[in-house]
Amino acid sequence: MEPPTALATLHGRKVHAFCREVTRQPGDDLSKADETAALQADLSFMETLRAMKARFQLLVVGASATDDSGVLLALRQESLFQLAEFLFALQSYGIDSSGKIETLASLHNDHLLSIRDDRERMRRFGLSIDRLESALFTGDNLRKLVANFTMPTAAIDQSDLARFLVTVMSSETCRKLVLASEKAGFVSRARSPFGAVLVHTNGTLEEIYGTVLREARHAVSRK
Amino acid sequence: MPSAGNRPGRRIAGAVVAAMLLAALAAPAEAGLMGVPATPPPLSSAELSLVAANPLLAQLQADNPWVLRAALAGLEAPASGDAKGSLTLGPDDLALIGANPAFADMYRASPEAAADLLALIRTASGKGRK
Repeated sequence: MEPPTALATLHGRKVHAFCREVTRQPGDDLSKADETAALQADLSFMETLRAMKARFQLLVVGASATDDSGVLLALRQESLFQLAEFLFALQSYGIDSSGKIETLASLHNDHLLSIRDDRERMRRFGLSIDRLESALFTGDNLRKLVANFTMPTAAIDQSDLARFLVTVMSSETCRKLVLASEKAGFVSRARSPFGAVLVHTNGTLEEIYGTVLREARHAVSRK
Repeated sequence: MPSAGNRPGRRIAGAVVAAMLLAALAAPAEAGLMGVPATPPPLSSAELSLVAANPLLAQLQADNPWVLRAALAGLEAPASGDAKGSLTLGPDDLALIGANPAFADMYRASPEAAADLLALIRTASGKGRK
């Protein structure tokens, strides 16, 4: 994704003009009535996006195996939406083989190194060099990632999950979400003989995420 | 460290950091002080609501009720009435968070990073973008 430096350097009326320019489609010459209709559609889309997140939270809390207030509080965090999005994307894009998870780990490493070499981007992401480098898959931990992922009950080490999610949440947030998800019955955690905490998802979060995503898409296409 | 009394509003980060520092420095000591009761005065109903809604405060209540008192004072917890008022970060809080990477990390969020992550997974899958 290209950094939004062009937009970030604009202010006031320049931003207004910039937004008008980027939202203009080829051949656009909207009448006032058309502009009003387009704005209505934009507002409707905005409401659908918000409703999607609200519905996600409602379904997640409803599916939780516990009504412990601490667990429900964790499940309501915005970061759970991101965890579910990651798991849903892995499942839906078919990242299900040793080759694909290894490719993903390699792309992840390249991505982190490119952020490390771009100080402005690193600052924008709120990351440090130490944090980035500790999230790289190297040697043994890459081999363990692949081995765990291709077991009959595919699993991922909790620390590897945090590595993949390093740019979107802290490792502590990731750990707390996994703990809450376990108590809610969405994942299981097992300690491996090598000290790893293997996380196995039962698909609930992915199913809920997929459901609200499709609902939102249908809601938009109906309007 | 921002002062709790020099501007209106609630100082979340200041209160939490102050409480954590106090917990680290003073926790083992105050129980043995002459003339200091082992537990502080009971909390008001509004303070109890605030504690119930904030796990960190609940942890302080269990670990060190005196430090909880300091944290509540920093938060300027209402003595009565609705405890659900919005907790906002002021300039002092933001400066404090900026100077403490661990706190900044708690608030870290990047839609750009989330979009990048999805693109990586799509690329690894070998599927193109529509």
